[in-house]
Amino acid sequence: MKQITISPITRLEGHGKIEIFLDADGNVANAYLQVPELRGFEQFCVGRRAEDMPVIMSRICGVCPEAHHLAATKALDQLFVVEPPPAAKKIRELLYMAFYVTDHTTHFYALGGPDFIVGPDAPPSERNILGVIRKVGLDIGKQVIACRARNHHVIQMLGGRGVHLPAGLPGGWSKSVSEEERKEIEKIAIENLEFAKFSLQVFGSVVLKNTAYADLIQSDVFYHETYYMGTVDENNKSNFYDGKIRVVDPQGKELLKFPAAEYFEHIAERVEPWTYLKFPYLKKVGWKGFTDGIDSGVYCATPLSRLNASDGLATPLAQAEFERFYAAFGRKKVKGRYQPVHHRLATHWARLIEVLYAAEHMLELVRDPEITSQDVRKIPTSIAGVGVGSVEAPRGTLIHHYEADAQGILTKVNLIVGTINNHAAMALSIKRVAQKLIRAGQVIEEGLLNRVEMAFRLYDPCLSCATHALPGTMPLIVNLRNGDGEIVRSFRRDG
Amino acid sequence: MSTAIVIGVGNPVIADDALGLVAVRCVRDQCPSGVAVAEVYNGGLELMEAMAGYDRAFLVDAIVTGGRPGTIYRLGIDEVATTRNTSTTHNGSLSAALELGRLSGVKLPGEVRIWAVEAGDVTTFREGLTPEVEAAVPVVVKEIMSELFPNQRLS
Repeated sequence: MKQITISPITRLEGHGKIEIFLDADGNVANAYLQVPELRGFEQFCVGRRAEDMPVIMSRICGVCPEAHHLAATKALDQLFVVEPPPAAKKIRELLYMAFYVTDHTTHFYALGGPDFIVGPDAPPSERNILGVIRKVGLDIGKQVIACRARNHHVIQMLGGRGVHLPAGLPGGWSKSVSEEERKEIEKIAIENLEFAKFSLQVFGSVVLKNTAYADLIQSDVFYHETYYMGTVDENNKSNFYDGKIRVVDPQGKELLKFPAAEYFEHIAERVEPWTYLKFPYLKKVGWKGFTDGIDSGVYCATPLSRLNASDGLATPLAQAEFERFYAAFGRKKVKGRYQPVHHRLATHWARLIEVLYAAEHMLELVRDPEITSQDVRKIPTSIAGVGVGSVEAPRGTLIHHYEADAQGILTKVNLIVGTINNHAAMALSIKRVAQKLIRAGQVIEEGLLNRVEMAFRLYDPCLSCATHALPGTMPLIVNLRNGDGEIVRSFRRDG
Repeated sequence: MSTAIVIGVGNPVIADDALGLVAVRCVRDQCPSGVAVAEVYNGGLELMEAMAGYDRAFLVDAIVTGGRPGTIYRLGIDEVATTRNTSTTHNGSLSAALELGRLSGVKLPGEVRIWAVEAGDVTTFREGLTPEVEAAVPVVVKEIMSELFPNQRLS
């Protein structure tokens, strides 16, 4: 089997690497995105006090510490059999909405959006936030910086610290919200709402009205009919903080709806001989290889999948945008829910719709009279031994599973992080692109690297989960290997 | 009087990835007041935001280039931040972040210097550096202290 490697080298920028395997005829057999293997996580945690986990967990990733902090805190609620007071849940969720706004916004303007706003064929040195500024105007850069600053301020106010939050406790939250803080956060939520609306306008005018980009979104290159996962509330509306995990099939029919604690009954992990990566799939459907369709257990957990797996969004403006989204792809409602959108590049649009929802919901929460309640903690009095907590991290369903002894000392820890859910789906997307550009051993070099990047970037994979990034150059390297693994050709693009 | 910030970049629970954090904690312990010290857990925009408002910024981080673990590289910003490619990370490169900041009117340091130490292990969850990397910490700390206080004899 021939192997092509596209490698951004070292850990400087998160060391992801793309492997493309060719069959004997020189056609693409398989492809996947390799993420760094981190070792010793369970040993690191076992033997520690369970209540330390929210703080430890928020340290494992510099990109989404808030998601880990909340999943860990929710797992502790279960482990210590304690139901937090309503105000504590609302404060957690309020913080999470601020986090969503800043995280999704950063991805759109700094990373995913440039493919469209600047253009998919622009050189990589242009396809970044500076290119966005050149195209849309300098003001957008200032707005992105301001958006990050004000939401980090909210996270700091509510969480006690900007990163590595200390506020989450089993049974609640360590501090309540004062009226002054509430007013300040309300003002910020209003600014977020305006920025979310503006961002959707930018997407509409720069991307959707541009025929070339609209065609690219609609093209079959970035198209897969898979299962979709997302968390929904009791009305089957998408919920980032709490609810049941729902999976719908490629036609939109509900396959599963279960509490996070049952996750391991429904999801299995496929192991392949050629990588240490595990590929989660739906047990009920089964593993049929790296292929899409209703018979393949491959699923994804992304902003797009969250929309597909829900009956709608719980806030009015986001719901209107949700309707517009499905109408744009000609999807019809079947039994109260839209048929899924399978166009993967629509994930970027879905992400912005989620920003709008997060901003609206943030405003609802901060205007809730209960948000300033002093009753934010219920002291736990017993230990269940097992706790499973989940949230929707921006890049997929995140699950923390802890087991502890009678003293609350951890005996087992298991995590499913957002990006892992999408390993197989990302592999499909990269494979599809590679198949279009590599046939019978002939490689269309022009556009290969750009298109492959676009294919996995839309999933917002968190390669820096647990490692950070020293600023540096990030070359992409493509090695074409023969059946013996020897490199017969090499392509390289320096950042 | 010019202001300076010393920033450690890293992950506290991934072996040698904690190098930058360990080093700046030593700087903090030795510094008289007036020098800002920060720990940053991410690159790109977050790093740019951390150095906003200061005249000089000194960064300490682990690096993997294939060299001997513990090797210290003293780098200028141009040597490590020549790319604007935002290919795989979540929030882009430092150079793009710095230019974004500059264009947007953020006050950024005129001088940015980087101490990068070749890491031995950046894939194991563990508190504590490998011995080779640990040995580089006092050297880096001493050099940074000399930069901060050029006229003082440091023990």
